Parts: sequence; C-alpha cells; structure tokens
Amino acid sequence: MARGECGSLPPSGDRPLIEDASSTSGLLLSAFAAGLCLYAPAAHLLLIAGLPLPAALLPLCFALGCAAAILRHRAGAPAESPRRGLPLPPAPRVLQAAALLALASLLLPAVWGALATPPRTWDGFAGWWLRARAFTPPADLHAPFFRDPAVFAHSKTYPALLPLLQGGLRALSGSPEGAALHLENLWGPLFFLALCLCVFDAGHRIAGPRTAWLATAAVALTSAWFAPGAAAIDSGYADLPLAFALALAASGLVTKRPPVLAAGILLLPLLKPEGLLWAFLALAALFFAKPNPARPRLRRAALLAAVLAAVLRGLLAPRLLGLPPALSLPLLASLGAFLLCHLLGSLCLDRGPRRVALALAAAALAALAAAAFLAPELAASGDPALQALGRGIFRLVSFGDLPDLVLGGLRSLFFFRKIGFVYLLLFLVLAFRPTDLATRPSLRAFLCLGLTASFLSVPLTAETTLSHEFVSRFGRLLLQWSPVAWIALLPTLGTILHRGPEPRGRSGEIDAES
Amino acid sequence: MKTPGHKALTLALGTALLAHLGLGLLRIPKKAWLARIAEVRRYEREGPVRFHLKVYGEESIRAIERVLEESPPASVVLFRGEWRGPLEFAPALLHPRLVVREHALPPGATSYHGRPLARDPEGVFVLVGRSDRILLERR
Repeated sequence: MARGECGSLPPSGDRPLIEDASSTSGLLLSAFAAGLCLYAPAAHLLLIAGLPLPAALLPLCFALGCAAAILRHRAGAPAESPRRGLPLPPAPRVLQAAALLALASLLLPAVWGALATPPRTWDGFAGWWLRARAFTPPADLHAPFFRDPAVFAHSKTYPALLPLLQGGLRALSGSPEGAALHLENLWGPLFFLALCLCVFDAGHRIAGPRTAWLATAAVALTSAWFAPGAAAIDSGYADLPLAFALALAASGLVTKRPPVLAAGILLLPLLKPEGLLWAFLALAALFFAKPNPARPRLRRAALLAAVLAAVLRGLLAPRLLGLPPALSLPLLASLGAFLLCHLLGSLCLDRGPRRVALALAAAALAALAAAAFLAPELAASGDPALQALGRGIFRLVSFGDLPDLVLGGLRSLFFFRKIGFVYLLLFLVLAFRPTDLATRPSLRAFLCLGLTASFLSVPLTAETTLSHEFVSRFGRLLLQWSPVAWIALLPTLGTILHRGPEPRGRSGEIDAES
Repeated sequence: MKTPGHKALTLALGTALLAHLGLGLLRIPKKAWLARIAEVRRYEREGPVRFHLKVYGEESIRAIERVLEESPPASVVLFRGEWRGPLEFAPALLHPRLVVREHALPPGATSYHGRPLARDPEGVFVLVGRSDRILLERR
C-alpha cells in the first residue's frame, strides 16, 4: 500500500497520473528541507568563525540532505502520520492533470523570467541581489563590503540565508560575472515548488488526496506569486522562502512532526527580519496544542530550533558590520523571549487553552498600556528606530487612525486580484464553521497570532503613510501567511469536495507519531 | 443531518473557492506570460540603469551611466546626501565598484581600500542622493 494514500489504492480504471504522489512529494520535500537545514547552520558558522565559504558547501549539504531523506524513506521511518478512519477516494485524473497544467503554465514563465535577467524589482535587485554577489564563494567577511561601515549597501544586516543560497548557486555557474543565465535566481522557482509540495504533503496527511491536489492548486494560483512584481516567484524577494518556512512550521504543528516543525522554525529567523517574530509565534502556538504524546517532543524541537536560529542570526549580525561576534542586546532579548515562552508554556500547558488565551490577551493589553506610557520617551529619543516605534505606539493608542487602519486592513485582506479569496474563505469559516478549525487549536492560534501581529506591525513600524504601508508591506505579510491559511482550511476544502461534513476522526484527527 | 443553512454555507464556500481558482487561471496568460515577457523585453532593451531609474528622470540615469563609462570595475565611487530613494540602486547598478560615503575619505585621497577613486578629467565623482533623483558632482 502506498504510504499516505489514506489506506486506499485507486481503482484500476482511475489510476493517478503520478504513482505514489504523496510518497514522492514527501521525499522531495524532506530532501530540500534537509539540505536547507544543513546548509544554513554550516554557512553561518563558517562566516561567524571568519572562514571563507567554499563553493562545494552548497552541493555537499544538499547531497547530504538528499541522502538523509532517501535513507529515512527507505528505512520506513515514521514519515507519515496515519489517519484514522475509512479511506478517502483518490484524486481524479482530471483534477491532477488540471493542477499540474496550471502549475506548469505559471512556473515555466517564472523560471524563464528568473534566468533571463537579474531581479527586476527594487528590493530584489538593490537588496538581495547585491548581497548575493557579496556572499558568492569564496567570500568571507574580511571584504570591505562587510568590514567597512562607510561602504553603502542596502539592508546589510538583514538575515543572510537567502543571499548565501543565491551566492552558493551563483558560484556553481562557472563564470558568474559573465553568465548568460542568472542561475542564482532559480531559488525563487525552487522555493515555490517546495511550498507547493509542503501544502500537498500536509493536505495528503490531513484531508486526503483530492483535497491535497485542490489546496496545492489554490496556493499556486494566488496571483501575487506568479504576476511580476514585489514578492513574485522571480522577484528575488525573501517573502516566498519565508512563506515556505511558515508552511513547513504549520505543517509540523498540524501533523505533529517535530523535525518538520523544527525545520520551519530554524529557517524563519534566518530568512527575513520578521521571521524571528514568526518563530516566536510558532512556539507560542504550542501553548494551545491539545495534550498528546507528541507535544513534549514538539515543544523541545521547537525551542532548540528557535534558540539555534536566534544564536546564528544574532552572532552573524555584528560580523556583517565588521564587528566581532558578541552577545548583543537583540540576541539576548530573542533568546530570553524564546526561553520565557517555553517556560510559560510549561507552567500553563494543562490549564486549558481558554485560560491561556485569556492570559495572553491580558498580557497584550498590559504591554499596550506600558507601551503607551513609554511612547513619549521613545518619540523623544535620538534613535530613529525608537522614534518611529514611539510614533507608531502613539498612532495605535490614540485611535485617531482607527478608520484608516480598519479600512486599509480590510482592503488588503480582500484584495482578490493579488491574494485571491483565501482570507474571505477563512473569515467565512471562522464566522460560520469554527469547528473546522477547532480540531487544530495550535494551527488556529499560529494563524491568528500571525495575522494579528502582521496587522499591528503596520501602525507600529510605519516608515511612511499608512496607505503606503498597507499596499507595500501588509500585502506581502498576508501573502506570507496565505499558505498557512490554506493548510488551516484543508478540512473545509475536504468538506466541500466530499459534499458534506467528514466524520470526526477522519479529517480532524491525526494519530501522533510514535 | 444537513440543514439548509449548512448547504448554503457549503455553496458559499465552494463558490469562493471556485472564484479563487478561476481568477488565478484567468490571470495566468496576461500576468504570468504577457506581462513578464514585456517586462523582460523592456529590461533587455533599456538595460538595468534605465530600467530601474526611469521614474527618477534622465539626470539620474546619466549620472550612473557616466560613472559606469568612466570608471574601472575595481574602483570606489563616492556619495553623499539622502541614501533613501534612487541612491539605493547605486551599489547594485555600479557593482563591483564600491559605493562609499564621501566623508570617510580624507581630503586629497586618491584611493580607498587599494582601489582608485572613480573620476574623469574634471575631478573625482561624487553621487549626490536626493529623495527623487541622483546628481553627479565632482570633488
């Protein structure tokens, strides 16, 4: 029996286009994630130690990742969380063919667009592309680009994983400066494929093959990914890799697989600044997990990955400015937040999610009140970042911008041409079928916390007008979270496909990995 | 048992899902193909400098193009002024030249990090950043 096929083989007249699709997708996804999780710490540690990056590091890590995934697959490691209950029917060939055709028709032009030119977007070119040049092996941090603060480059201290990956791939293309094809831009299509595989894999485990194909098509057909512009597949932005890491963490949460959750949490802070907050939210979401045998292992894996990521990012950040690695205040603060979150979770895990939610809401209100008192001090400080934060807190607590905030938020959520209908579906489900989400409280908490934090970040960290922030930044944050929303919607999609509510224990319950 | 409300909700959810898939499919030819082909063709026709700086005017384009024409790749280009805005593109457009703050160099310096300063017969180039354009001055 094919693993992950929900206990059923397709009838001979309706054989799937791809034999054992879930197993193949799981293997590919594991290999890709393992390669990333080997390369990220290795490259960071070499740079922190002041050593040059060898060109062979990237292929070596991905070869090891592939080998590990294949060995694990062959050994019959618990790659699946078997679903209880009756088998669900396989996906019809027409659905598979349509999904594959749609995927190919939007991915092929993106691959061509990625290879044809350097990134054609602002951040993709001015920020990430330039840093990829600086990180191309045999790069080290002794170059003037890094050690001289007078050398100007955009976002020098941003998390380095994406430019490290781009630089690594660029070094493999032989003569990078004169290369006709911009191989380093292939990471966009690769992360997009990995994102699709991740949603497919989660869908297969949670809701069966039909729903998996449908959810994958829904994620792929989100216009903002394939239309040229900020955050598109070939834009060179880090939003797509971050969306993949978020989906990985969400998949690990919902299918109770510690390695998958840890991989997502490890990658998040190393990809984009907000990834550190998303990793924290993944830890906090575990507060809401139902008691089950996998929960302690999930919490340990999540904490270890978060601490490792915070240490790697925190130690590398000063090195990117030519300073020695040190225990900086941001590093200590993030480590403290992760450990405190874990400790609080240990104290209140078995006291019920409602009590935890009340405690969190009270803590958030207290933090807001404290921030309101601190706002004048921050606004009067000499640090531009603190001044901006002070202004943001003023903006939030004065309620003067409330109509603009609400309208801007709603407009972005329901900007169908860019993000599609995912958040409309989510709101319909939250309003009228909350039980669809209730079976996975940790995923629901992760998504709600993420969307709330994304929304609050707009007034708190706005550098320009609110309307510009909603268009330029909040839209991309919503895009990052959209695959998580699709994973949360999987039971609902299953219900729509199977024309009725699935019995409890079929869609909602997944056995913990043992 | 399925209630009328349940059926209506399932219908609404199904409609939203179909709308999502349909809208995505409808946008593939125009956005994934035509818009991308047009963008890549424009990039190839105009080159990176004009492609990225077109909205900031001819003055900005001429400033960067002049530096590219006159300076060797392993050189240093000085700048001052507002770095937020079009000047953010300068390090990537001028790569592998280093773009360095003017005040970091002592007066009379002719090289930095072992690289010569970008210049023409009239003097050492200094890019001046404004929020809406880049100017080229000489030191």
